[in-house]
Amino acid sequence: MAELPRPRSPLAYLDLTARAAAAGEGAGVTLAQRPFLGMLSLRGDANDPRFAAAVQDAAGADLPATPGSSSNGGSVTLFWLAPDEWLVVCGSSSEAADLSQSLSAALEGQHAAVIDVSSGRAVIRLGGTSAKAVLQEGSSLDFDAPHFQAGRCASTRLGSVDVLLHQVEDDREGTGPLYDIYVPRSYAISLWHRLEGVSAEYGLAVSVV
Amino acid sequence: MRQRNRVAEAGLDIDRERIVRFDFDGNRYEGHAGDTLASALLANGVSVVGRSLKYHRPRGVVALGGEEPNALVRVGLGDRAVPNLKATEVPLLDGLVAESQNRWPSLGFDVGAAAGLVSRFIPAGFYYKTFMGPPWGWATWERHIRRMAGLGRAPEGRDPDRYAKRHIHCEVLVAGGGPAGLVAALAAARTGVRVVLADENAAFGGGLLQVPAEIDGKRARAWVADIVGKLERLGNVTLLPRSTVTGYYDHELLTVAERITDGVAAPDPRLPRERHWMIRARQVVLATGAIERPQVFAGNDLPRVMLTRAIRGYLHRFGVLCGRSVVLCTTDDTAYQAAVELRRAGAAVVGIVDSRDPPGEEALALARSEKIPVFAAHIPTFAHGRRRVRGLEASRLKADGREVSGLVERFACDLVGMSGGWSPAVHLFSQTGGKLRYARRLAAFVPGETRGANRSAGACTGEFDLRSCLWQGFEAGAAAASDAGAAAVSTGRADESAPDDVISDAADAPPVPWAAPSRGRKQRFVDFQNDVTADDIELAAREGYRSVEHLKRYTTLGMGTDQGRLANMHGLALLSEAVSVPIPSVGTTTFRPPYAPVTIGALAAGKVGESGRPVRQTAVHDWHEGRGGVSADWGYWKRPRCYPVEGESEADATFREVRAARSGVALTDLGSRTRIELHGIDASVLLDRLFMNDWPELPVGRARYGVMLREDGMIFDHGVAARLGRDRFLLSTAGPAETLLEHVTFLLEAVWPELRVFVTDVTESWFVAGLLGPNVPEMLAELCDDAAAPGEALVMSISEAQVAGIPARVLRSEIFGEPVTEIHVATDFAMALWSGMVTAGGPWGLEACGTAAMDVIRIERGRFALGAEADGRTTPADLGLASMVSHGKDFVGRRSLRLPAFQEAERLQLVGLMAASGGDRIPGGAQMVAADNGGRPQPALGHLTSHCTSPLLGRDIGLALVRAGRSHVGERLYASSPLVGETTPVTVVEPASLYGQGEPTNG
Amino acid sequence: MLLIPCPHCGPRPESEFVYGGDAAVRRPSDPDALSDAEWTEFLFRRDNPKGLHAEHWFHRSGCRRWLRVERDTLTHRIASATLARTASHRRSG
Repeated sequence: MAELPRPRSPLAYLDLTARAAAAGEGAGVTLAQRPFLGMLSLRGDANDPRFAAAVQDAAGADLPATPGSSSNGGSVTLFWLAPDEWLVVCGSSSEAADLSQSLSAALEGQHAAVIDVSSGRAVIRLGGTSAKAVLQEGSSLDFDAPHFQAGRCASTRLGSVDVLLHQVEDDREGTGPLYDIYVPRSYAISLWHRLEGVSAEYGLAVSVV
Repeated sequence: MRQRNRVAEAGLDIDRERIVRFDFDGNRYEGHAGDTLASALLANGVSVVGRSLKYHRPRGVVALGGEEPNALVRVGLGDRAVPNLKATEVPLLDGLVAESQNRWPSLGFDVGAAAGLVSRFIPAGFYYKTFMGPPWGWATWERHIRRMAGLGRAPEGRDPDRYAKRHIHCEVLVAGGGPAGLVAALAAARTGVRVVLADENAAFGGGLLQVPAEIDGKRARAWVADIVGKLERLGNVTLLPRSTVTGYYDHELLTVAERITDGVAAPDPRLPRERHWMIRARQVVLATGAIERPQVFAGNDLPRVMLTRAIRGYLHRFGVLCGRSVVLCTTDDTAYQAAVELRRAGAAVVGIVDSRDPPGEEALALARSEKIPVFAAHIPTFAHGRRRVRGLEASRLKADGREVSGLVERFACDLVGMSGGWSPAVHLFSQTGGKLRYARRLAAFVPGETRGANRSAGACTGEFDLRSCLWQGFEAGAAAASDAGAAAVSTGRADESAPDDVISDAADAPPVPWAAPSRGRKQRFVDFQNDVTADDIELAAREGYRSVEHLKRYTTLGMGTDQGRLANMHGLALLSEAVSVPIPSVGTTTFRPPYAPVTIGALAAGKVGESGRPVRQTAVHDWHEGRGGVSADWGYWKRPRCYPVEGESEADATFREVRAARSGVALTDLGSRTRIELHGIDASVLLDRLFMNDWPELPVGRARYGVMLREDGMIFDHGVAARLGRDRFLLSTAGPAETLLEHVTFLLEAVWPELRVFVTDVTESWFVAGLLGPNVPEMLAELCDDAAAPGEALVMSISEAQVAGIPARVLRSEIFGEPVTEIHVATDFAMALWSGMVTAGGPWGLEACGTAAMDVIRIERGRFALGAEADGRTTPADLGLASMVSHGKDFVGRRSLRLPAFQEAERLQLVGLMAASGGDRIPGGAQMVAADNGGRPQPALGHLTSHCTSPLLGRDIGLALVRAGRSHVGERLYASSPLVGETTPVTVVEPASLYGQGEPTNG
Repeated sequence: MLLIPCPHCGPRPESEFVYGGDAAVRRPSDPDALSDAEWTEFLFRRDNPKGLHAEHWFHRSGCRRWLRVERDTLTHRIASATLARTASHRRSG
């Protein structure tokens, strides 16, 4: 097969490298893009042990059954989205394509669906001592533990955009917690602008992954 | 003389070492750090700080804080100016510039004061009466009234400041940081739950800061500092000073307006000016305190007739003695301690006028020991003076305590204190729908049965004894924490101490009578801010406004920035007397948020510009921008309307793009079209019920166009369904994805839960490039590796291919009756595909084509668009699609199509329109009419829905919804727009026949 | 602003939801068998009760499921919130 043309990330347009160079000191907020992750939409019956077993088998991670939870296995993370819906996130779109095939094969004959949605979302990584305050500007979720903490995820409204929030790490060393914001691709630039605006109060550092 | 009213005593809030210079109405003054604008003006002997709304009477500072009705000022310069600030709440900063409002040309000489001379012509309900008068009445008066009345002047430019918002959660929110609130917060916080304590003042302590008091042998201020320190150290408490709790909404959502940079010297430039907090609490403790009431008598609005608590507060906090010769009028014990303090600060207390007979024993004893004369069973009846009070008359009450006898005491004085009892601040409690109870003992409303998870504590319950307030606060805080799920039990004592023994401000006797008798034409003001007098209320009652809600609207009592905090109780008591209905039956007006004015900036925080209206971009948006694509909004999406090149008009660009679609290749960005996937064994059944057209089994790889209805028979959406696999379909539609998803999900979950289908929105995962034009097959053959180039495939089919080296789905279908090839690729490769096509398309005459060109193609084909023709009120028959409707199956909306209303001949029907000649322009937004009668009114037959200039027909064409439209085919109608003053003759044709009227331009 | 206890996502503000009307109204299984009056009754006529009211809410910004919420129209107290699908199944079964 011929080599694919170069893909373009959702935030490529913003020239994050230039923004990273302009970062000030003592920033309370850090922002970065995690581009080109692989993503699958997984649908099925959580109460069917065959389904959970097949997913475990193919993805190498437990099926998160508790609302708002996630699970890890190797490079694969599963996020609970709804009682019959999960988001499978892995390292790259080619990995997602392979995973899609193995999941589809494992789920053959079940009422289930696997859809490659790798390009559909931008992922913005938000950190820093004021990261929580930045989220609280636009989201009315309760971000204090135990309501939200490392490993938890939530689909919710951030400003005027519906997003999936994932707390990657708790604030362990006083450097602040770490969040991933999964935002529908077409809204990504708009959301980024908003996050920059809100962060101005705390000082912002942009980094390139 | 500088700061002539500043005395050496007290003044705990100010730093006498630090001089602050400020400017009021163009005059320079000096004050001290820690002053408010009001205290500094009083210190400088400035009596008149504003003019009243209706009569332009000179007014001075009355109160100490947010209840101030008179001292409204505009602070700051230019676009940063804020009108309607209360001088009592403006911290004094070096260089502050403020001006009074509502006066012209100056405070000292105000032309509008003439209104005072004609005040009997501006009675209650003035606005209503002028409205009701001759038709020209309002139009004539409005201009003058607008200039004379009104509060403040808004800045004109864009607000240069940033405003922020924050949503937080807590277990216990305490509104009000006075003694009860402080103790409540501490009790709740010690259980470990999250607590928020908000207070409108810069410092916590509430009433404890205003007057000398002791708790546990400590000065009140030390006690407050001690509690605040404890709260700070606990770590689970969010302390919000300078933060007014403005609203209490459903399910314990409270809004708090925090002032951050205003009133702060040299604030951090990164900080927002204000932050609007949205706080979701599990439990709420309302410790909002009480507000002292004025008394109603002739001349009670003169400058230096003030609330007694305010007089005490200015002395204690700022070292300002508001007068040298004082009369204190009271209905309870409030005045006595004040008298002692004023006397010690150097003022002569000429007398205490007490309506009670006899006054409280303790109080009398105190007065006697200080040799202050007390006039029991007296009420103030007349204050006189011009620009400030010079004297007071008080009359002795008869034995019934209601009417005055002829006995009058006359005092010469330069300061009058009023204390007409205390009104608990029940506003937030009342906002939740909680019921108020009338407490006869206090002559005030107190919280009754609550609705919502809140409790009231302290003075806002009508409890004015400090020890009791502390206990109430402690119990409320601990109980709130426990109800909010706190595991621990609060420790510590209620008061952390024993309260002091100062005479409390408790009011045990109702302030009867509510108003002194009238005295000639002298006005007795009830509501200072709105210039409502006791006579106005009596007049309104006589005119039949017996309900307190009607009274409020008729007289404007209790409106404005102070929302009648001082006036409401007197207003409804006087109404009660006038209509002979007991006060509890008169009731109160409904309290609604906000409790205090909130800046528009704070309300709009996070909703300005892109934050409020996010922009959705397709993955090649920057290419559009780079090519001068003129952006158009479609929902949140930005789509290019057309791509004018240098020197080209939008119309010319659109023509060029349409020509490419007819003679070469038109490339259009369909990235914003909705795409959802359906998975499951019942997907086919679902589609059958979703679409109104016949839906025989679709083979894998084939596609079909269909129209969807709402259950009421109106067209909802339309698009193409393609079968990707046995149980897998792709649905590509014109309407917004959110709405379609919501609709389909509803059908699957609430209507037909037995159907096994998964619906997934994949709009964002795929980018779609649309290709139209005769050269598309050849161009694609070149771009695709596969032998079976999609150009060869059947129309209405879907297949997989490599396009420009990218794995793609190729959907061949029709758009507006023209064949279209859609290339679907993963969005990451959108730009690669797009540039690949632009490069490859050169030889084939490829042009990027915007929405305007697509619209031209659609209108020429007479096809409907969502929103324009399918406007939510049109059925398939209305749009000429009756023949598409299936007769053999049930589908959403089917039954409605048979309803008699939809068979009526007079319904609006879709028709095509052609301008009579090439030079005639069909005006946008036109109504369809039968004649050109020079723009005079005539009945509309319908309206224009879409129009364009057609390159095919060489003239303007359009689509319209016209009553019984199909019966007008062949006739001449007129498209008339009164807005632009144009009327254009048009010929009515069948929509589908428009295309046939033209000569194909590409031979 | 209401706080709706989504059975999956926990309490969420009203702004995350789309109102879907009276949950007691059910689409007739055989619309053709209905008179015009009966059909328009289904389409348009709704009770306006004072007190507990079962209604549909779509959790648009969260789990994107239709919920059946029992809300007191007088006090806004929410008595229950369950999956609409479960409720529909129960009624049809």
